[in-house]
Amino acid sequence: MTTINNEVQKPDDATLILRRMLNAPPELAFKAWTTAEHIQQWMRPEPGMVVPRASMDLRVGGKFRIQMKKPDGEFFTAAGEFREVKAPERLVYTWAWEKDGSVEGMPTLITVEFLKRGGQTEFVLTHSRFATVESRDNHARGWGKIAESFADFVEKA
Amino acid sequence: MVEYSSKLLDRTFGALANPTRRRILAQLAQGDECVTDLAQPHAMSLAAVSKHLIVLERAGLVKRRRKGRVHSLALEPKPMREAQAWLDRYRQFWEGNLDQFENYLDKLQTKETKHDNDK
Repeated sequence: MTTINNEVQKPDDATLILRRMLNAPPELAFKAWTTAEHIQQWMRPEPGMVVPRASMDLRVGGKFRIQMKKPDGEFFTAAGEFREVKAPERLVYTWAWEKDGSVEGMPTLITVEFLKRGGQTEFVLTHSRFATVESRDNHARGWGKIAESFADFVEKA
Repeated sequence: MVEYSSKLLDRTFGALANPTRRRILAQLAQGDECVTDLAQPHAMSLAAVSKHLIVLERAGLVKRRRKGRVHSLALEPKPMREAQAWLDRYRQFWEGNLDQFENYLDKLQTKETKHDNDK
């Protein structure tokens, strides 16, 4: 699945950052990322998966739901709420998994940026364990300090 | 596929959201210690350090062993491994999606160019 233009960062604060250069202007990328009809076309985390249903209420406080179906018929539904909507460059929303109509586990937080780079777009996706920016940032401060010795320890254990 | 987050994982991250507790973990990463040794660099009472240790124990980050009156503490790597697994699962999830997203954008671009040329 790895492509050469994909850069993965895994800082020590349980936040995943993915960067890519997209061969399209930010306006088009933003539209494709946030429109239900488009999402149904591209969202496929694993081969053979389909998105039978998607709904997007793209405004601050608006909700979204994306229903994914595996080839064996199992459903996965992601749902959340938009926290920041700044077309075409920035989007912040919560992300949680639903099972039988109720949310499982704590919601997580996603920030997506579409930065104009000539005719292209620098795409940055930040997915954090924490559902608020504050808790994410609090956690990030300081955790890095112990990460090194901890990593050593974990590898040895 | 991405697994649902466990309650234990939530407790892990809650326990880590405190500078004193992170320092205690850093100390323990150097090797096992007893409670009195842990209290020293923090300029804190034993009682205060004990409270932090209880939070860490509940989160499964620290294990306590008793040898008579001496309580020895050791770091427990399992919860951090789970946190790492969380990251790995989402990395796979988004990388798969982003490959498709890129391909789809290329298709959209081609369509729009073609449409423009047809005008």
